[in-house]
Amino acid sequence: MKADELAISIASIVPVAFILIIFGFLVFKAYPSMVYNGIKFFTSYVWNPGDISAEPIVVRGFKVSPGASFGILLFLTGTLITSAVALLLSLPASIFASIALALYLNERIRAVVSSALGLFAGIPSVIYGLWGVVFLEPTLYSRVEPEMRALLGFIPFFSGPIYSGSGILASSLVLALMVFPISTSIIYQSAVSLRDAAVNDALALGATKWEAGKLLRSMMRKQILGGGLLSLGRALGETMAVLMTCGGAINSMPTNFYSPINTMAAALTALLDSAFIDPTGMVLSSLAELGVTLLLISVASSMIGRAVLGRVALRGELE
Amino acid sequence: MKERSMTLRLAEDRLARAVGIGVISVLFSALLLIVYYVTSGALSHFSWDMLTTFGNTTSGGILNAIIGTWLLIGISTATSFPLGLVTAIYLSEYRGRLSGLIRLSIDVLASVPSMVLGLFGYLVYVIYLGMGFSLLAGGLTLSLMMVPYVARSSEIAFLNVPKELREAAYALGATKWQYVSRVLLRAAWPLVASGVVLSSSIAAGETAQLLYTAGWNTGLPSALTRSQVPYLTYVVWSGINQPSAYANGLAYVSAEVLIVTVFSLMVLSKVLERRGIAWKRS
Amino acid sequence: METQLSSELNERIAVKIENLTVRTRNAGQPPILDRVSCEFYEHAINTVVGPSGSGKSTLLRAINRLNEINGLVTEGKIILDGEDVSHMNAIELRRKVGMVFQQPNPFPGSIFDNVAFGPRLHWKMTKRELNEVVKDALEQVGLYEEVKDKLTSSAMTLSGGQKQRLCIARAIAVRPSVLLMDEPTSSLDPKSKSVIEELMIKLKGEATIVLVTHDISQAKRVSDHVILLRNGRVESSEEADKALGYE
Repeated sequence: MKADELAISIASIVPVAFILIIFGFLVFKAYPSMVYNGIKFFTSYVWNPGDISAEPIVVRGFKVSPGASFGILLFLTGTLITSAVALLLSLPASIFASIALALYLNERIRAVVSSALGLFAGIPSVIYGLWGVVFLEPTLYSRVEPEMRALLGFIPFFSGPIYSGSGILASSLVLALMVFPISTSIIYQSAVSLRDAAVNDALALGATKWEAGKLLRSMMRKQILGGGLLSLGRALGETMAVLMTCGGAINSMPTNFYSPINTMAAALTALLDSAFIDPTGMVLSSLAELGVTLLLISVASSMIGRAVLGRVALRGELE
Repeated sequence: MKERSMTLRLAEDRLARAVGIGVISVLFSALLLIVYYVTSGALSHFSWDMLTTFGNTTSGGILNAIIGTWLLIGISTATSFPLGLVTAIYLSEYRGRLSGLIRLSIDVLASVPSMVLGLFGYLVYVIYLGMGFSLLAGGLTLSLMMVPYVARSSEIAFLNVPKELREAAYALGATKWQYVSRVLLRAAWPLVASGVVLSSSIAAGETAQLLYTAGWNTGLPSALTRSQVPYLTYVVWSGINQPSAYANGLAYVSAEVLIVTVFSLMVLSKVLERRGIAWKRS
Repeated sequence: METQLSSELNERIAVKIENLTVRTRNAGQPPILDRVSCEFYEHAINTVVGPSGSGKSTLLRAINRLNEINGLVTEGKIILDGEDVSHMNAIELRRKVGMVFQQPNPFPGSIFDNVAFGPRLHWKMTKRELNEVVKDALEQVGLYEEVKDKLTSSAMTLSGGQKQRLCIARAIAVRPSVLLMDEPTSSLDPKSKSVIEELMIKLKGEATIVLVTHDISQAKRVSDHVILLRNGRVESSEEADKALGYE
């Protein structure tokens, strides 16, 4: 008996080992970049592999191409803006939809919407990207963005040149769409579990369904926060859909809402190519540092969200 | 003390209902719009040749990509399933001192962004372990992503097995391992399978991880290592941005095949889930 | 049919139920309430007793139309103070008819907010007026002295019996004329039980009480009128007498 317990214990350690190996290896690979780029890595938006055809020079003990300088400020900013806009759009929508589902709609519609959410969540990222490229971007470019500029142009961030359909707006919208099923699923479940406790009492006191819904919403603050954090964790890691709709900005910070942008996950994907032709390995090392940064932020967000929610998250994520 | 206007309250109520339903409808339509766009694009460019021949992303067909995707699903499922299952068994039946740590690791692993896993896969499997762009590199990387799903859903599956079963088995003198292998797994397999199928549907739709671990192949991989693999999501990603209409067509058709594949796997997962829960009720 | 235990005749009828049938949407199943007719008297404790599953709770929920929320189908008439309940505005109705449930379920929030919830829904009041209403309700249930120093603290810190009295205060804060009580003491300890029974007797002066209970001795202690419900039908008065141990 001891033997099988031993065997299973050893096998179960594997996930633990992998986490340590993943983190450890990436940090190990990122070390040269951490030394070479220093704090500039987080304060500069310039990403320059240097002159890769020239002889590598040695700086602080590491080989780099002359003129190499790596900074991820653009990617950090892009990630921040797109995630913020995506959450700003999808969280309120999730709350409204969840309360409407829990209070106003009947069993059958609830079942249909529930399944639909599941399907929604299963659509591959690259297909959201496809839709973004062929439908969303042209529509944004020809109709939405000019309208938006006309309406909101008095705010500096919403005026200025429109380069194309891709950029902050497109990638944020796609991200919002992708994050919506997750946050709705989590918030809806908590709405249903709290509903029976409070809503009947509220209705018996003469509340309208909306008034009972407001009460319900005030009871769900923790779950809404948790759902938001988990959605954020997912949004941070979203790669393909964002990659295809963000405009692939590099070395220039966004100037307005219609500017091209880049996120950490998308940039990591797009720039890994360039590491293959870099003789010094510093590009790869810098990308590894980018990966570590992304890893830490995503894990932090998801773990805090999970802690806030308790283990309710399990079901919601699998749907 | 005045009465609050009933008309106002009722109007507010009706408005809230409308907004809630509106939001649901809008997002529903977005989903339908996506499926519609892909399907109509696929239909307008479709030819049977596409499904029956190999190709690169600008000419030929996508049969190699279809097979490649299934090969990747196979490898990743085969490697993630035992690992996830064993972990779930440990967490639910053996409950040793490491349980907290293991559960934490699973949660952390689940929160790792897929591209970071891709980077890791590239650094370790492709370069350091010398596998090159290959089935094994791609499959193992996907597997890393899938293990938490399999572990969590298996744990839920085990929770669904009535504890009377465990008590009865032990009362008959079964050892822990005998209970697990002969009773628990047999009782829980539909829900476990449901979780495995669901995680494989996620693997089918992955792109970023595979870009730097599986490569691309105009034919089929000849071995597990050092031989690149074609896969559907790659065709979608590279095809849609090409100027050639044919390449776009390949992208649409691949996207359609992907959607059909993913949806079918999800439906299968749901069917298995219903079967698992129905068993419990009986 | 009802058994008059009190010696007061010619009491006014607060709620009149005529041929009430409540069923699920599922056509195949037998109705939960089958052509029930009865009367509930003003300023009295009207008790509905019966075995579990006899439809007592559903009868209560028909009076404030809470059954609609659960998707049940209602046929027949319920007359409250001369008006047909199904023709009234549901919100108005529920202000006039208060309800206390079996599980004391205060809203998460302060004691004050719990009692103030109802008044805030229906009336526009100044802070002083609201404070008056809350204080009044808490005094009526005998909680005010116990909680007056912690009105802003969470309602969850109260004991079971206190929570139920809070829920009663919450219900009467909107000054209903009828108070429906669905097994209000079945989850409480004996001491809280008797406190609430005393409260019920006190409150009947202000409102009409319709009490559902499966506790026969409780029914004996507090009731002015008793109705026996079995399988969704009102039983004859001899049964009611026998149930209460009278001949």
